[in-house]
Amino acid sequence: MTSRISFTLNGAPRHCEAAANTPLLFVLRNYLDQKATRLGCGHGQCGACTVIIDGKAVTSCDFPVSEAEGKSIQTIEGLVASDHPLITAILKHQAGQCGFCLPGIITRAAPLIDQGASFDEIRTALDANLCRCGAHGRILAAIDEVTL
Amino acid sequence: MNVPPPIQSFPNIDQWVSFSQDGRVHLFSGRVELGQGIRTALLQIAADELDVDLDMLDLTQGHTDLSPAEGPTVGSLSITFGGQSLRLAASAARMVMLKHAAELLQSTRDELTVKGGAILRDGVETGLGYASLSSQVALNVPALDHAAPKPAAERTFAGASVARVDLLSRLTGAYFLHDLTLDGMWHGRVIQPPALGAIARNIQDITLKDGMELVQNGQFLAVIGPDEYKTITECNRVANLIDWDRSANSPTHPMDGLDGPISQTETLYDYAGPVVGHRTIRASLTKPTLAHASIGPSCAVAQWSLSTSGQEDHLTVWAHSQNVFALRLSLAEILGFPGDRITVIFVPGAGCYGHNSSDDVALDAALMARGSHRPIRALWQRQDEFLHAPLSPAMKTTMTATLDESGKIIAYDAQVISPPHSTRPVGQEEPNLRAQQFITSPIPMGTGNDAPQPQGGADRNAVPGYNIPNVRVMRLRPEIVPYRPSAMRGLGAFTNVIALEQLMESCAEAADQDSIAYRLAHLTDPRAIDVIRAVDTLAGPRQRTDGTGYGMGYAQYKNSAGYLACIARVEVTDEVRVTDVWAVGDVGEAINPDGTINQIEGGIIQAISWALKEDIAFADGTVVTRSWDDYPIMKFSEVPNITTKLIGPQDAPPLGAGEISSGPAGAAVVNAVRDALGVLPDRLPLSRSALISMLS
Repeated sequence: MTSRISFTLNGAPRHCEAAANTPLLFVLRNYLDQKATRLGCGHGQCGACTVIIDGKAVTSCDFPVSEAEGKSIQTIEGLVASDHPLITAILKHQAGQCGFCLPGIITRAAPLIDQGASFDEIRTALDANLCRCGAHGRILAAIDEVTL
Repeated sequence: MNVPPPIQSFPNIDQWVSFSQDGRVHLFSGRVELGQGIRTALLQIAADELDVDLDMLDLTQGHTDLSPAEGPTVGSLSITFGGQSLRLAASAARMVMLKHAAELLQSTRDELTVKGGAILRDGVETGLGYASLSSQVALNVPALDHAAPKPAAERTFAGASVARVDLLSRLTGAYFLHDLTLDGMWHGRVIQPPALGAIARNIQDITLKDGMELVQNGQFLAVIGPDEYKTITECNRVANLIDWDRSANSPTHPMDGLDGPISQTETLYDYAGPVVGHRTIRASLTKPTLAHASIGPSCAVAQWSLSTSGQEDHLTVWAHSQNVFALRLSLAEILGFPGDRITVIFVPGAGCYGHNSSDDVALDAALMARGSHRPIRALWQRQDEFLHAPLSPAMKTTMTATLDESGKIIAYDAQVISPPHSTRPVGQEEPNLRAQQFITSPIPMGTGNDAPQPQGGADRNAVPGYNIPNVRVMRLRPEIVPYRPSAMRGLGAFTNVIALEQLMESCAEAADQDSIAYRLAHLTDPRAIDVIRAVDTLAGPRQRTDGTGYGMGYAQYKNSAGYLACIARVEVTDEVRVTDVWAVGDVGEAINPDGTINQIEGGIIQAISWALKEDIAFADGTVVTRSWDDYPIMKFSEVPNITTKLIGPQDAPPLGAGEISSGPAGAAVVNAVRDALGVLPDRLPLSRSALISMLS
C-alpha cells in the first residue's frame, strides 16, 4: 500500500508515491532519479547514504520516507548546484579516489560547517562515514580550509 | 624505452588511437579506472604526444569490442605497461599524420608542428589537421615504426598534477555502474547458499509477492523485481524461509590451515653455496584473512538480446571488473555461450583493491537476465561482500638472517606459508565465478595459482631488496583453505615486507648499529638509499618518550616497481594509535605527481587499518563477519598526519605506484610498536587484545 509523501528536495517541492517504510534512499535514487546518494550497507553503518533533513545529517538507507513528510531534504546534488564551499575545497584538494563515500561525507560535514562547528567536532562526526581508499587526510584538509 | 608487452600484442596505431572528422580524438585502453586516477593519467600522456587539449580526447577503457586486451588492471602496471603503450601509439599517430601532411604540403616533417590537433607550418595554420586528414590516413600500421615519444622536458601534461577529470562527476549524476539504468530493467538479489552442496529443500513451496519472480538455476536462486527495495526485502524474506539441506562444514580456520598439512613446497631461490655464519636472527609474522571492504558493494547489469526467432543472440554485461576480457571468457564457459557474442563493458564501481566480487556479480546478473528475459541490475548485499567475496589470504612468513662477525647479513632464508594470491577468473580452465558452483551443471572453483617470480604472489617481496649474497625463498601451500584466497593490493608483499623490515631491525640491534645505517650498509642502489635518507630527513629529529615509538619500513615493490620508505610514530596505551607517518617515494616519471601521492597516502591508511584492526572472523569452518560493526576499519578520528614527498628522476621510466606503500607503511607501524613496547609483534592485527597478550 502506497501513500503520497511530499517534501522539499534541494529547494523544490517534490512528492512521491511510496510504501511508508521505503527508505528515503531508494525513493531518491529510483523514484526521483537522484543517483548521487549511495547505497553502501543498507544498515546506517557506513554513511554513504547520508542526506540532510531539516539541516541535520541522516542516513537515508534506514530512514522511512514517510518521516520525510513536510521536511526539507538536501542531497549532494543540491550542494553541488548551490556551489557549497566544501565542494570547491574537496576539488581543490583532490580529496577523493573512487569517490563513492564522498557524497555522504560532504552531506555530513556541510551542515556542521554551515552551523559554525569546529574542525574537531566535524572530524568526530565523520566517524559515522567510512572511506576505504584512504582520502581522509585530504578530506580533512578541505574541511579545515572552510571551517572558521 | 623498453617496449611494453601490450603494444607488442597490439602493435597497430589504430588499436589505441583514432581520429574522426568532428575533431574528436579516440583513445582505447585495456586499463580501467579503479579510483586510482588512471583515466586522467592516460589522458595526460596522450595529450602530450598528440599535441591536443585534454577535452578533445575520448577514452574507452575496458570494452571487449573496442579495447586492446592488455590483461588485468593489476600489479601497479597501468602506467608502466598501459600508459607507455598508449604513449607509443599516440606518438606514432601524430608522426604518421605529420608525414602525410608533409607530403601534401610538400614540406618536411620538421617544419610542421601540431597545436590542438591543427597542423602548423612554421607556426602558421595550414588548414590541415587530425580531423581533416582523418579519412585519408591509414593508422592500421605498426606504432613502433613511427613512434618518437617526446623527451621529458617537452611534456606539459604528463608530469603535472592535473586535476582529476572525473572527480566532480562522482559527486553528481550517474557516474557509477550502480547508477546505470536500462529500459525495462529489473533489480536482482541473490539468495546465497550457505555452503557448497546445500540444497534449498522447500523452494518450490515458497510463493513470491507482488509480481516478483524467482530465478532458479540448480541451487542458484535469485529474487528479481521492478522495485529495488521490495526486491531486497523479498529476497531476505524468502532466504529466511528456506530450509537448507546441507552437511556441516568441517570446522577449519585459516590459521589452522597455516599450521596444518602442506600440499606443495617450492624452493624459489636457494643459497649459492654452504654458509657459515656467526649468529642467526629470526622474524616471523602471521597475518589473518582480510576483506576488501570497499564502500560500494559490487554491481553488474546484464542484458540478453534475442533474435527474431527468439534465440539468444548476444549478451551484454556492464561490470566493474579488473579484467573484462577474462570475465568474458569465464562467462562464455559457464553459460555455454560463444565468447564472441558476449560484450563486457567496464563502468566504474567503488574502490577496487584486488580480486573482489565484481566478476561474481556479473555472472549473477547474466543468470538472472537469462532466466527472466529481462535486463537485470544485480547488486551484492553488504553481508554478501563479507561472507562470500574472495579474501586476502592468511599468511605466515618466517625469515632467518645469518650474520657474519661484523654483523653483516650473509644469508637470508624466507619461508612463506600461504595459499596462492590469485583465484581470479581466467576463462575456460578456471572460470572462478561464485555462482558456477551452484548452477545445474556446477563447475568447481579453482584453487588458484601464484604468478612466478619476479612478480610472485604469496612470495612477492620475499626476495629481499637488500644486498645479501645467499638467498633462499620457499613457498609452502597449505592444504586447508576454507575460503576463497585471492589478490589484495600488494599480494604477499604486505606481510613479507613487514617481516623483512622486522628482521632488519632485529639484525641491526644484534649488530649494535643504528637501524637506518644498517639498512644503508646493505644497499648499493642509489634510489633505494635516497628514499631512505630522504624520509629520515623528512621525519625530522625523533624523540621517543614513554609509550611512544618510531619505526621504519622500506621496500621497492616487487623489487622492480616504485621505491617507498616510510617512518611512523605511534602512541601505545591500551591500543595503538598512529599519530604521524612520513613517506618518500620514487616512481621515476610520475605522470600525475599529486595523483601518485594520493595513491601512496591511500595505501598507507589502508595498511594501517589492516595492521591494527582487521581480521575476518570464522566459525564452524566459514566466515561469520557480516557487517561494518563486525569489521571496523580506520576512521576519520584515527587517521594519522601523513606527509608524503616524491623524489627521483622524472625522466626515468615510470615504475608504478599503486601498491608501493602498503608493505612499508605496515612495517613502519609494526616496528614503531616494537620501539614503543620493547616487544616484537609476530601477528596481526595489533588490536587491543593482541597488545594485552603481547605484554603479558
